[in-house]
Amino acid sequence: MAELRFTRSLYDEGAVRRAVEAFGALAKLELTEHPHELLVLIRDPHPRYAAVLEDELANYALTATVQNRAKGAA
Amino acid sequence: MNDVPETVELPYALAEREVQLTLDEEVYPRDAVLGCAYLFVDRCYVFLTRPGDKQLGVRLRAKGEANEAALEALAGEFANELLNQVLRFRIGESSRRLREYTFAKAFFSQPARTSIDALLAELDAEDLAEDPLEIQVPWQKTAGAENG
Repeated sequence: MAELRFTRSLYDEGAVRRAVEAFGALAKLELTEHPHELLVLIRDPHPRYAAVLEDELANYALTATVQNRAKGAA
Repeated sequence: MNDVPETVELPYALAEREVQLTLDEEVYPRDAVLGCAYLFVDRCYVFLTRPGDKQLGVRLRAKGEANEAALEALAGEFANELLNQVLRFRIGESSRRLREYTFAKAFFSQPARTSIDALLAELDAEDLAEDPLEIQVPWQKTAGAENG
């Protein structure tokens, strides 16, 4: 089981949720809210994508965060 | 007097397939770091952490095999782009008031009269009966009078 801890002051919550939704078909993902972070637990990943799933999910969340911030600033 | 400018250390640590940088948020604002990280997501896996107060951690993990030299080069390129993003951020901040003022003036000031309206008003104001320069007289008449 892998876990990703997204710091709230760096990652947008909506972006992390979108990432979890987008990768939900490739593993059992559980999002838990904490005061300063969002914890994503990754279980039973698809064998083909297990090696990169965690990193790809993190990249997705980062990209969505920056895009959300850009929309908010516009 | 010391002429050498103060340098800012950008410490990084190498590990297998990844390099980790720790940034001082006072020097590298969060938005600049996010902007820089965004530009690197197609080249590597980027993960941001907050290792301490006013500190930002950046982990760059290679998408494939990468030796030490490649990871150091990646860290160097990230640092260069980070400087670029910080500069853009600071210029944006310093010119924000001027930009807001310009936009506010453009959007909320009294609409200027169009040039067509101004010309029509000018024509209305003129007394067309007066023609001291004899513009309304055909040129043949004026030319004939001068010659004959």
